[in-house]
Amino acid sequence: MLSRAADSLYWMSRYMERAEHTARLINVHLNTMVGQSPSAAERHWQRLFSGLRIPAPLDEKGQIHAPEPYAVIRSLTFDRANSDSLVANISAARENARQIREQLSTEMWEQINRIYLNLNQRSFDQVWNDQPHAFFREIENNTNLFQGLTGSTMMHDEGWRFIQIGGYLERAISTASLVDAHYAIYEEHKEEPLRTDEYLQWVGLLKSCSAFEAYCRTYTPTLHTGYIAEFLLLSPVLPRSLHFCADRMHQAVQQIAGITGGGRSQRLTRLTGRLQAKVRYGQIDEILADGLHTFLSDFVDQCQEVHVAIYQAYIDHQLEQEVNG
Amino acid sequence: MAAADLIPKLGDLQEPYTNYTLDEGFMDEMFDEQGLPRPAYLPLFRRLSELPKEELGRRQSAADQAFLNQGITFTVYGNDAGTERIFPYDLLPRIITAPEWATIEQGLKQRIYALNLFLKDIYHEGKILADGVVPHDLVYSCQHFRREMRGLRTPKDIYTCVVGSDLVRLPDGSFAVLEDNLRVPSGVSYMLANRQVMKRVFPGLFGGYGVQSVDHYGQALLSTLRKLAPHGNREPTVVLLTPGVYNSAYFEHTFLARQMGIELVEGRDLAVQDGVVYMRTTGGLKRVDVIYRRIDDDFIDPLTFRADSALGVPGIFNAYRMGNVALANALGTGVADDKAIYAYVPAIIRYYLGEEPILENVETYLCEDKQQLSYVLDNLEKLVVKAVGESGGYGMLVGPHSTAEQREQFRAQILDKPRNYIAQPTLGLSRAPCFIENHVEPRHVDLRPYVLYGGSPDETTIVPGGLTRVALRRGSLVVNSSQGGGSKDTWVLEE
Repeated sequence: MLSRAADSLYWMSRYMERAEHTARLINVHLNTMVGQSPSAAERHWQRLFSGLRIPAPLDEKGQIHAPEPYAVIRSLTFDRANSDSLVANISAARENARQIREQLSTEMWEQINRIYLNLNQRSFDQVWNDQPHAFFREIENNTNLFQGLTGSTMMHDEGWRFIQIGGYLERAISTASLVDAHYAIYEEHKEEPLRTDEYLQWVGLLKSCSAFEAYCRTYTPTLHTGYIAEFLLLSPVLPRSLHFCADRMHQAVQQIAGITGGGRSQRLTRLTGRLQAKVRYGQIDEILADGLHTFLSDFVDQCQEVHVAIYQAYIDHQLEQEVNG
Repeated sequence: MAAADLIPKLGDLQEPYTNYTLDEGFMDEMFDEQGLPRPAYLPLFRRLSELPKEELGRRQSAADQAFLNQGITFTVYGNDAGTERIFPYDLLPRIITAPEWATIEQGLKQRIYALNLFLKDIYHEGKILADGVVPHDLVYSCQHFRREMRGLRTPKDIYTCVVGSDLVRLPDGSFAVLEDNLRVPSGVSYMLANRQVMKRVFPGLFGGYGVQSVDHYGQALLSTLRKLAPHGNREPTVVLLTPGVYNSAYFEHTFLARQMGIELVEGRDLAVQDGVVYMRTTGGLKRVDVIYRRIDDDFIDPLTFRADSALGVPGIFNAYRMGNVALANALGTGVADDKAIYAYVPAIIRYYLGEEPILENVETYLCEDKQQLSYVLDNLEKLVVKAVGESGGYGMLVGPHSTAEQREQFRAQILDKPRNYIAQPTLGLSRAPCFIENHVEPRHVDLRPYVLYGGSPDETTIVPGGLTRVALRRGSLVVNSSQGGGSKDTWVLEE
């Protein structure tokens, strides 16, 4: 397929995943914020910003100031000028989709278009004063519907595999950042007695990964920070775990290599294979002993290497070399 | 007598026809001069009388929503952020009978054949110029004449294979050609999308009417393009070249690429190496044989034409000249749809084919001719003046609807460059019923059928239908979408 088409499919998928991640995090954030003590608010916001991989607004002393929720959430949802906002992510996903409209099934295109049009018709005040929860839930459902339609109406050929790589790469980075944010704050305050609202934060982390119910079934409802880390990093069956994402990425990369042939993908395949091995054979006690943060930043760095390798192999390759070589 | 009694007459009509009028000087598509519904329109007429007003309104909004959800929109220029609008769709079909269609079809096949022969001639021997049938000056002064095309053989001598000619219906009921679009005609996706939406909102009516299908257009277009493949390649790689997502017809480009199952490429996806065109794919470079290009001549190759074009492919003209790639349409076809050359098309048909034109031209005054110029200048308030190189309703003066100031402005422009202007009488375009604010009212329409030319009249396909464009503003004669026009589905009936 056209390199440009592969590029657009990959980014459409990344932006769509990012939009869903944003909607879910804000939703969980708003829920856990209810009835929270003011002193917990600062950490709470810090987790949200780190989880979304955006810099927290700092005051003159370099401290996170507990912001006014209305303004922040408004900026994270409806502010077009803010490239991290929900509406910016959805627009970017749709713009990529539009550039390769002919590659998508009609069902997919109409769904992404509907999400966009629907979002443009809403006003933040109406959402905020009515039921923000229902709104964010609707966005999650709509983006999930898009992913469902992608699975069931598009041919599972090369283009679909690029969608897979983009989506799972984005998801892996999101989960890693989110877990990192929660454990960083946990490490800082480890000596303090566990407060009840901190307990809620761990529930929030699991819910942010759609993993709370699954955790309860796999372990018990008793929250144990080690188990949570093991689950979100190493579970082969939890759809948002690093292991799960790495499996899918590696699989898609191998399949694309099979379709396009030639040796152009060797480096890429090695990189995703290494990433997969890291979470497939890693032991949680060793990871925790060596430092979770080190592990996670290494993981995210390797994801970035995968991204660069995709571009080198399939998108930015040099013309003259190929004609003459 | 009994049967006639059952047929209601205009004048004693109930809703939704209470605003319908028949006026002098226009043919009405639905009603005859006595105000009786024409036979082909009778079932539609009855169905509309039965449906409650609200029901029609409901279907109209369902149709609008369908276009919006499908992203069938065009981009409005000169508006920041590139606003997307839907192309207004009128709910009611325009109906053409089988005998009427037969004339249109024969007439267009004849005309497009002759125009292809003309293009070949002027880019080679130029016999028609030597014989004085068409003036040299007119051809060589045309801004769309491409001297680079001199002596270049196109595959099967096909120059323009994808055509969308604009027809109008005159007060006597005959069809005449208003304009030939031989470069990059657009709108065919709306013909197909209008039909899909029509089937969705009026399934019962459509099903019982015996409407000929237009759905095979994509396949017919692909076959037409494949025939152009260089070196007799039977499995050519065909691509559609688009200027990109910001082009107003981008929706159409994606639509056609999907219908044909071919790659939609932008200039940056293509590269030329040693006179061969390649596209950049994830599996490396892939050779391209036929390009259906939706980029104007000027922009297609910065090395040959406009150097500032970022949309084109450097070196593609050289590959074309070497015969390694086919372009559809060929370059330089715009000389034959120049509005001044247009006046000579009947003579062109007689010259090459020795036949009388089946479809008439609209009377046209060339401002370059001194006598005709003075007539035009004396009658500006009665005439429609058009700039020869423009399309889309730009650069146009509609005399009867113009202000004195506008006329003076045009007078100065015409005197400055007479070659650039022609004038035509203000045409009484026929009117068809449209659904306007809960009533059925007449509006002026034209018709753009889509012709696929394969080298001879017998190898020419015209899908039975076309795009009927509507001037939705009351009294307006301008149907272009940029000027407040809309479109409707066009039904060509079976025998």
